[in-house]
Amino acid sequence: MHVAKKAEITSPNVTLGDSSNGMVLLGGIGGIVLIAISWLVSNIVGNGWAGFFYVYLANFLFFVSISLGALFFVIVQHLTRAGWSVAVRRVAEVLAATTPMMGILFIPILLAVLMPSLFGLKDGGLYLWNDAKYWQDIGLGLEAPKREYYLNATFFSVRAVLYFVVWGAISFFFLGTSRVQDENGDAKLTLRMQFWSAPSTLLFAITVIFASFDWAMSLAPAWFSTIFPIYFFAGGMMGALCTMILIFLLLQKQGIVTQDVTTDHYHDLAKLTFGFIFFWGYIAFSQFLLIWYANIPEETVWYQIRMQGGWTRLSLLLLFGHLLIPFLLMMPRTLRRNRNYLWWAVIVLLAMHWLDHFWIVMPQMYETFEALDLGKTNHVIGPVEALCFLGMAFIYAAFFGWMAGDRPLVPMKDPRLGESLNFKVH
Amino acid sequence: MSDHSSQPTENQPTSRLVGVLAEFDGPEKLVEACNQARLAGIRKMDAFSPFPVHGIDPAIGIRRTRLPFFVLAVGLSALVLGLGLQFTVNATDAIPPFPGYPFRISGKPEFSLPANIPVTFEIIVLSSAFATFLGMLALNRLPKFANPLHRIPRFKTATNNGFFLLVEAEDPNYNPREIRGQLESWGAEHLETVEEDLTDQKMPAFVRSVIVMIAVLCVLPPALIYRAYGETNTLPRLHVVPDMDWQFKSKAQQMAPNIAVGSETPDYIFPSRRVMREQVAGTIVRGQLDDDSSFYHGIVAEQGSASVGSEAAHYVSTQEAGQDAAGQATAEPEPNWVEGFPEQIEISAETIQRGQQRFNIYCAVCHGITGDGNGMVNQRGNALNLTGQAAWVNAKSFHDPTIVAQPEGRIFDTISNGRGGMGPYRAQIPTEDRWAIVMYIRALQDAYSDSAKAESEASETPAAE
Repeated sequence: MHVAKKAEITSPNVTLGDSSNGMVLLGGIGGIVLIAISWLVSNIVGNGWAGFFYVYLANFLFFVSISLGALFFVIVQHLTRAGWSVAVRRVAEVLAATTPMMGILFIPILLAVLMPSLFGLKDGGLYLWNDAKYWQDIGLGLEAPKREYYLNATFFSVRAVLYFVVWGAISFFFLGTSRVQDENGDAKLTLRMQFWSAPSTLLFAITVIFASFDWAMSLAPAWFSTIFPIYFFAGGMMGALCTMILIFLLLQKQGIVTQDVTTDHYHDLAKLTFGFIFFWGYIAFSQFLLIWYANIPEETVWYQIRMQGGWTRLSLLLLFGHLLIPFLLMMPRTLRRNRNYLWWAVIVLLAMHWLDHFWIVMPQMYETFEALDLGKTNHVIGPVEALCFLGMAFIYAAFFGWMAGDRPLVPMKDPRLGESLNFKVH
Repeated sequence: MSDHSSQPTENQPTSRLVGVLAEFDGPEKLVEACNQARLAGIRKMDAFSPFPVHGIDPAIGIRRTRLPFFVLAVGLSALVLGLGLQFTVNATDAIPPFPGYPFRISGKPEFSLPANIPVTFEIIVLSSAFATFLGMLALNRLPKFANPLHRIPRFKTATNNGFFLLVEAEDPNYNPREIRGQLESWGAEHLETVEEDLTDQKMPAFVRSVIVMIAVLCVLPPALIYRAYGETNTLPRLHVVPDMDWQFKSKAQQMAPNIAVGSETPDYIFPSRRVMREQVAGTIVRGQLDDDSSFYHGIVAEQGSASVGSEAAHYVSTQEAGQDAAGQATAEPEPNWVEGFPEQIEISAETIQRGQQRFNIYCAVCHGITGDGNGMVNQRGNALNLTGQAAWVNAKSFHDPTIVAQPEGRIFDTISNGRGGMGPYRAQIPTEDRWAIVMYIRALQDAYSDSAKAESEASETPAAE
């Protein structure tokens, strides 16, 4: 009954090995091809360049929110000196290290903002605020120049670069330090990471707040909600936890880290997922309730367009599929410890997370099209969305493979490794 | 129920065998012994240790707790309860015994789900917390007032460094002859027989009556509320906290109370009997110096009197003049009114439109949309005059030659401070808007005289093609 405690990694295989090169090559090429096809399809049957950029932005937000969630997961493990999570931390570190890589995927959006005419985008294109005329017509009066100081192409680009630099610095610091520890097992490195986790939290919070303002909320430049960044973060955190579970399931299916990540780790990750499902719902509802109750036109407009026509169905789908049903179905302990169940649960939850970003971005596209008199719009999730998602997923996998390389996917000599390997949920 | 002595009767047993308590050397030995006992078929046993021992629960065969399901059931009931409560008190008056009031808040429907969620959520959280705590107590059969183990001196180390296993005699596989040997073979260091004292088990008589009293007291408030529900009462309100209900305070509109208590001559904080100190003459609100006389007062500043004090004094005197000008004209000579508009006011179509908008809001109700002095209030006032219900003074027509001849500054002053039966609009309408109204009045007058001229011209040459 009483098993001797493990203190070392016992899995026969802890790296992606040569397959990481394949992931980078296949993912990179495949991704670019798929996104290119998505753009073509958009120009033939969809909403052209402008429509493509909205789909691209929704997918970009989906993936970047996952990377940011993973980054926060890493930081918070050090902040709380968590022992249980050591075995699962490296995958989060690698996922987090894809945040600066996401900067590459951000380049098209940056170009669309800086040089809209290059893509034949009308009147500023993607973001309505990217056009001086908008501020004159919006009727904000004295408020308009203040917002224009913040929302203009130059400052937007400077901020975006700053975000990626900050995220890159934080995520590379944690991944790099953790990898140095793989070699020498120096406990001082753990203390150093603990020390830097606190300032990292602050930097993370500030950058994510403004990144979500810039990229998602400014799609409706006259609308504002101070809780919006938390909404974005809560969804991303849930997405990151689901992605981590999915990655471990995939890795273990390939015979990697089979011994070190146990049912108890899955259980705890699923518990956190459960928590963030509800946190997301709590924040989403808080935002909705305040706006609904105050009933001020400049605030309600954002929800109004999402409670009309086909968007109603999507809003209700999010309410039930992203909150109420997962809340009940992720609650039982037995289900959280069942890997076959988790396969389906995380895939459905990630689909919901994707729909969440679709729901944030796409209704604004129709608003913009209407404002710019671009005409043709469609309401279905069609080949453009699917191809763009697949393409970006390929590229994301390539980033993951690039960051993971043939290095171990579990910390090899972390001082708390033993605690994590023997971790039991009681 | 410690050493209370009472005589045991002959035919009743004085004690009952609870089981055997075995002490072990450490947590590992304890877990191992538990496993052995479980494998030997013993189910009724309990382990005691100073700290939680990993793996002890499965070792003594404890099932996973049913508490979460209990809490889930309570939480779901609270969902129904919370929504039901809000429906009963706020959305309908048809459900006895405590019908609520259908009551609309913030223009929302009487029963609107988004607004009901926070309350429901809090009720669920509160009920679930109570269910968890009380359910934990109930499942552990707590509170337990006495435990026979506490009579064993050695057991005191269970909170310090002792590891114990109690095998209960009630277990079907408990064999009184073998159990000691079994426990020793499983590594017990020390054995002790546990017996329960049955001599004094009666609950003290007062406890029962106290429980009954508390139960009755708990029923009283709802019973009284039910009795008083929907009844009217002519008695004055009960003041539970008198010094809050009757606290000493001075409200701006009240007369000051007499502070010379017990003295013949009354005394007040301020001689004027106001409750607040009056401002020193010439006091000016911060940021409202308004020292540009032509802009703020419609009066051209006198040469050499540009000092702040004299301007302020002038302002006060203008105010007072406005106040006592209710019926008769003031004796003060006409000041030097501004002709035209001050330089801050741009003469443009936009300003006139602004003036029109403000005019229609503030002025047209009495003076009429066209400025002919016959707005709705004026018509109503005249109608009331006929029945003697009011003493309404006709609103002025702006096309009256005396008003057409008035300088702009004077009209501005009338709007600002009122004149005759008209009240001051200084507080409601910002300075720029008052000037805009003056400009609109001028536009109205021009339009009226133009149309009058056109009419007279038309009548002079009737057949001109």
